Amino acid sequence: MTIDSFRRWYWIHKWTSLVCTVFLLLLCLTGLPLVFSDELRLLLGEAVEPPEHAAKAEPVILDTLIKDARSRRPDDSVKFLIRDDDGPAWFVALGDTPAAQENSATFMYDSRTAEFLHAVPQNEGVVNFLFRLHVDMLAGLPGTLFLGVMGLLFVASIVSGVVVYGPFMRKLPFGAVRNDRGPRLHWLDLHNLLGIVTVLWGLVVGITGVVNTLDRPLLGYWQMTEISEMIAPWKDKAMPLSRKPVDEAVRAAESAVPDMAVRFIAFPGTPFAGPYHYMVFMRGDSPLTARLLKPVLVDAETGQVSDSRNLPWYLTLLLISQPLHFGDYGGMPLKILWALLDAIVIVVLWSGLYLWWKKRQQTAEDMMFSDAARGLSPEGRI
Amino acid sequence: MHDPIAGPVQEWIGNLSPRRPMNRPLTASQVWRMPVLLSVVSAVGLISALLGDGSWDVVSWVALGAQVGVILWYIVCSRSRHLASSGSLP
Repeated sequence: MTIDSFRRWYWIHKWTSLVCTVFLLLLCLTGLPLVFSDELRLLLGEAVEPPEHAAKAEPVILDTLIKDARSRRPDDSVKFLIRDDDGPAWFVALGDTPAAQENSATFMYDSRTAEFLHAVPQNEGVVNFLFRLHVDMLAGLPGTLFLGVMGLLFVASIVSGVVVYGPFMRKLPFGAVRNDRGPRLHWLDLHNLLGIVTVLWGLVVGITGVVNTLDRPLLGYWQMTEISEMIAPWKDKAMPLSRKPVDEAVRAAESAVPDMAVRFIAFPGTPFAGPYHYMVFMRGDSPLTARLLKPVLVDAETGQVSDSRNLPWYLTLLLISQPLHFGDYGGMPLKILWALLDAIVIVVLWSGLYLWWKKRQQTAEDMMFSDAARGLSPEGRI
Repeated sequence: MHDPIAGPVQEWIGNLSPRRPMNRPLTASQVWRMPVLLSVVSAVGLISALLGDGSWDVVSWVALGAQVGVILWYIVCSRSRHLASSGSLP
């Protein structure tokens, strides 16, 4: 590497980092408790778990859940029926209209007894506040997309950081932390050590975070293209007079894709189902395929399967990105490791800021390269 | 007796115990082998728990736990060396 290209990469590392550091600190600090959001919600009473022993243990009639939810909110429309990932429970999500973006209420039911368990708080509570800060800084979609750009800068700062790591380490053995040469070298060595060890984790969580910021645009694109295509033949039909109960739609979907299980159901009128259909989203049963979904379109009037497709690649990418960002796919030990690595990245960000501040205090521009210059050979190559 | 494996192994172990800055610049492979090794182990850890439960999860815990362990190892090493050189240890 020539000294010119080193200077360029160093400049990229400095400026990409400086621009995104404050936001990355916010993301890392809010992300730390959010790794344990399920546990925190239970602890704070924002969520409940189904009782361990249920009186009955047979699959519940889903329509009874819908009827109960409707009786609790007579003016609202059912948007989604969602099966709990971890426990025997169903969630009914309602909105002012079926197409409303925000939920007006979410009710939790025991999937063995149909017993009402809990009204999930909407847009309130500590965990929700942390989540909103982390996802959009309370600024909606523009906030999310802005954080996506900050995430891209973070990825660029990691890549350029790796490039300048080489010249810095030409004269130091891996992992050297100099304790006796002043605080600046001490923190520089720690910045290099913590940064290079967590580099892959940081890249993966950074890139998957950027992908997650695109979830609404990607879902919107999918709805405008493939879902529109799937429901196009019904476009000019009159609205059905009656609607089959959701249980029939689920049975039809289950027999159409027998090796998969129901994950959630979008009700007629939601953007994911169109006015005439239920869209039943099926998932696989292995740890990897459980993350992936297959949409089955069921005619709400006849209860027959109309169409079924695989998810487009960009939604598969989104669904794979989620666990790799949240760290929720390997039990509590993985969550603890996720939190530890997150804390290490906080130290990398903070020490980077400190090193930049210390360097600003040095007037001679050449001092910037003093550490790397020791690795220079006479012909100016690093 | 000369052991043919001792050379490379000692080189590896030498890599594991950081000393004071050296005079001779390291080659690219010396600089990069630990970062590459650790990144490969991280990648295994990140993917393993996605593929299965049970022992797949354990592989993830060990592989990502190793990253935290490596950091602690080098920090503890440098502290004990610092204490030793500043005379606080016999």
